[in-house]
Amino acid sequence: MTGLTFLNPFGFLALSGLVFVGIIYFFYRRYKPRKISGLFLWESSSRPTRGGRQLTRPVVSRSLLLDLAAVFCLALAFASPAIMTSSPAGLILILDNTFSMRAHNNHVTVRQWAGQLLTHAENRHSGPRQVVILTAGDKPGVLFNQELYRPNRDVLKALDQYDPYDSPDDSGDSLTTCITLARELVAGPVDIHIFTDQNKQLATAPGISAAGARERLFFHTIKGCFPNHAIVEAWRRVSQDGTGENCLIGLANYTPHDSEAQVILRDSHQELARRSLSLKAGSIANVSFQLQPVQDQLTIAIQVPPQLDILDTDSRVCLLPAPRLSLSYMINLQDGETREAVERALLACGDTVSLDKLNGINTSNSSNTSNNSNTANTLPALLITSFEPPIPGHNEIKPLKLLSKPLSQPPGSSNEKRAGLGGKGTVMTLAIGNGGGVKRSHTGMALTGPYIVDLRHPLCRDLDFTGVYWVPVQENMDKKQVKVPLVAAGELPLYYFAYSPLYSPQFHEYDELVLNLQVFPGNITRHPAWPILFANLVCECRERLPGLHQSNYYPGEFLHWINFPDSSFNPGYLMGENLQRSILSTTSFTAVPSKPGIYRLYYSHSDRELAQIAVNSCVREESDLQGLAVMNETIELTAGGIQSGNKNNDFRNGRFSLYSWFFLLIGVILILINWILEKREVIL
Amino acid sequence: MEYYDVAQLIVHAGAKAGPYALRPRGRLMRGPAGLLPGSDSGTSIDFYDYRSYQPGDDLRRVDWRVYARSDQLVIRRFRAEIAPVIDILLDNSASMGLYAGKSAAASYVAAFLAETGRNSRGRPVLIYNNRRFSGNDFEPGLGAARFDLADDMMGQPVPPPSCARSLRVVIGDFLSPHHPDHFWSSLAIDSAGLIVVHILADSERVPNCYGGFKFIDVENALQHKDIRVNGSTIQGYQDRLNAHLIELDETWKRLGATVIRLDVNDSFTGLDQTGNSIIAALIAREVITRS
Repeated sequence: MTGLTFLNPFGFLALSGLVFVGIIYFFYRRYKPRKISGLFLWESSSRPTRGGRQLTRPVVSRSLLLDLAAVFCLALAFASPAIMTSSPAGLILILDNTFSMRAHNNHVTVRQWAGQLLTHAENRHSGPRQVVILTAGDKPGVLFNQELYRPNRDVLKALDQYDPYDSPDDSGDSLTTCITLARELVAGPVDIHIFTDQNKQLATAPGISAAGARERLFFHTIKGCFPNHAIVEAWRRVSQDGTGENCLIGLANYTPHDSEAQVILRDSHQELARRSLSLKAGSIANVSFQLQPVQDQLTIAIQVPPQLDILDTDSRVCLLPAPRLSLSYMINLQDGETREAVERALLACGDTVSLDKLNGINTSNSSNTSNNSNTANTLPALLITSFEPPIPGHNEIKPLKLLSKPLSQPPGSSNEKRAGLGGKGTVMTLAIGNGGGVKRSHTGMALTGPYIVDLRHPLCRDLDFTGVYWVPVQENMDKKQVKVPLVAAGELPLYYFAYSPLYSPQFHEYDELVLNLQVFPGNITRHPAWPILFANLVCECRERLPGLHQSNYYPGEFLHWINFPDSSFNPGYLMGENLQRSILSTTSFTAVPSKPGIYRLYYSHSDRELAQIAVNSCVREESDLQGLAVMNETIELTAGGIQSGNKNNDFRNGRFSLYSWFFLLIGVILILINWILEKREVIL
Repeated sequence: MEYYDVAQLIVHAGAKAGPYALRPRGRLMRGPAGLLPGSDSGTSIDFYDYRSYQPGDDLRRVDWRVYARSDQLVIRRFRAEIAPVIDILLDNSASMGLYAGKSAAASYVAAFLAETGRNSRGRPVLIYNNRRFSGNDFEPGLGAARFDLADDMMGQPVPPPSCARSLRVVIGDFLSPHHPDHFWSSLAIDSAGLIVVHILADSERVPNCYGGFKFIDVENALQHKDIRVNGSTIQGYQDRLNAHLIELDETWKRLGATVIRLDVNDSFTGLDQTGNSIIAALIAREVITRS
């Protein structure tokens, strides 16, 4: 649709200059006084007029007309006329749906931005013929698709469904897929607007940059941060190029402060490489490791200062300053809360070792702590995984608890709780929740099994208990009941029972293990895999520890909280929107937020009221996680490459152009002509 | 307006006038004893007439040759040698002061003619504002002249001559709506000659202003006219100016005046340029001659 429009209608206010020009001419430029001799020679027959003021009609001179024309042209130039030669047939909005998009700048959210763009397109082109809204996440989604589009509220409702939470952060491929899908959905000229926080170099990806002649791509990038959580986003990419694996670790610092991090590549025995990263506020830093084909377990560890959390958007996990035990992330022992949590965990295991001693052990027992490192710098140290020997006499073996349901049920069923703070989801599934409070039992008693270890889980992939003596050989054991090889663990058994459906005769082919763990002073603690196992055991133990067991909850999930033993009778309360709370006991309660949002759970401990973030935002509205916009840039892609576009979020593009300069030039020329004529006083 | 030093101009004019003298006019002048032939008989050696002997005449004047031939006693009459009075009437109206070139030319002409008159043993008298400056007061009087008079020269009464049969020089622009006959006839009466120095500036001859103007008469601020100056109005002005000049020329011609027209630049162009143009014009009109 073609038509004339004015991009800056307020420029017509310059037409008020016509009035001022007229006034000037009327009062000052009509007649210039001039003394002459022989006035009688200037008139033919009439006598000279007498003096005094006279009201005469203003003379419309050429100079006046030129000035008025110049003012009119300047007003037109300021109004920025533009002729729309064509309009896109389709308008496609692709919204990056990954978690990192939850951060937005102070002024406008992605949803608002997209809405403004849509409204602008409607006003400018009388509506595009077709509007499509896609989400780019782990799989593209179509929020809205309407041919013969007419402005209505349905499109805004579709935008309301935009929820950047569900998708892991692999939006690079997803964006390409979305664009491909968009091109299939819309025929003819189309404007594609991509809203993402990806690096703009993504725009050069083959699937994205290969725009056709009738297509225009606009890359709207937005960066935000999560100051409330001070999250450093991390992701991993592992590629294979035939010579090995390249592992790329990226860290994005969404906080408003500069920071630093250490990325450590370790195998089961030693530290292989350590890289330091300087994380500028709002920047992204990358480090890569060349992974040689080795059989040994490799671990990528990231150390960050205490004030930062690590958000692994791939796993949708937000790590709080609470105990962070995971396969990959180090624990900040300098954080008081973390220390307390670790102490509790250790106490729950019946261990009386203090953290100081743990530190000492960490430095002295390098074999035990081969997976650990104690940094001498300001970055936090690692958890020392070592126990004191258990108290003799308290090594009774607890019988295997019956499962409430067959283990063949997939994980995630309601009676199973998800455990684990780090890594990707479930490591171990507790067959039956123990509930209850903290039991200060003998060493390892709290960690006693049974556990089902899913060896198929990626985090368990490298768990290899070869060489671990699980069960001391006891002559009085009924070996018929044991359908798996017994593993001797010195004098004490760690594992002594099996549950038949899960196991094959070959130990190494087992998919799952039922582990009735009894932490005896076998060599399990000296096994290289012990830190991993211990971390998960502690995580599991946290189920029974006071506090919140999980940080991220989906709407409808149960929020389980165990009170501290010394808490008051009132178990605390949850603050949030439209919360429905049910209290099961004084020691714990379960709440089910009916609506997503950020909640704070207040509890009392040691006569203090403390608070903990209960639920991460999973809102249907825009994110509560507001932060600073680091970059807000629009890049217009055309066939053949990227062109820098308007960086001011101005969608008036492509149509304007030279008309404003043309009228400006005409106006200036008219002024010059008038000036020259007046100087020369040419006779027409 | 470009200012000039009147004193320097007068000195320069006087110096330039050194080799020049006023050329005798057709009509004989009168005046005190001098060196120029007067209109009356005198004691010079220039014979100009006979008359019959009257008793008491000097016998040495009897032309005995005529007696021998005609037996009549006649007396030789010799022309008188006088020092003529040169009345220099200076138009010091405001129109003369509108352009520096005009006022400078007028002052230069006055000073120059005064000196040439002295070279002719004449006696210049400067007349303006009904005031007369002669002798040693001429130059100071000329230097004190201010071209700011609101009255038009031709609208004022003609000042009487300093003496009978004096030479009258009138310097001005004569842009006056008044009829010229009366003024000039009055000037010519009982004068030995009338020399008119008509000075006009370039802008007065060919106006070069275009556009809308409120013309204000420089000699009468109460009179003004709003005029849109363009080609046609300028042409009309020039037509009327030419008609005015023709009328003046006819009057001057009828009175036997010697007219010197000086077209000067609006601005003062310097002593030398001003003087040279004036001298050239005076020589061309045979007002002065090298002595």
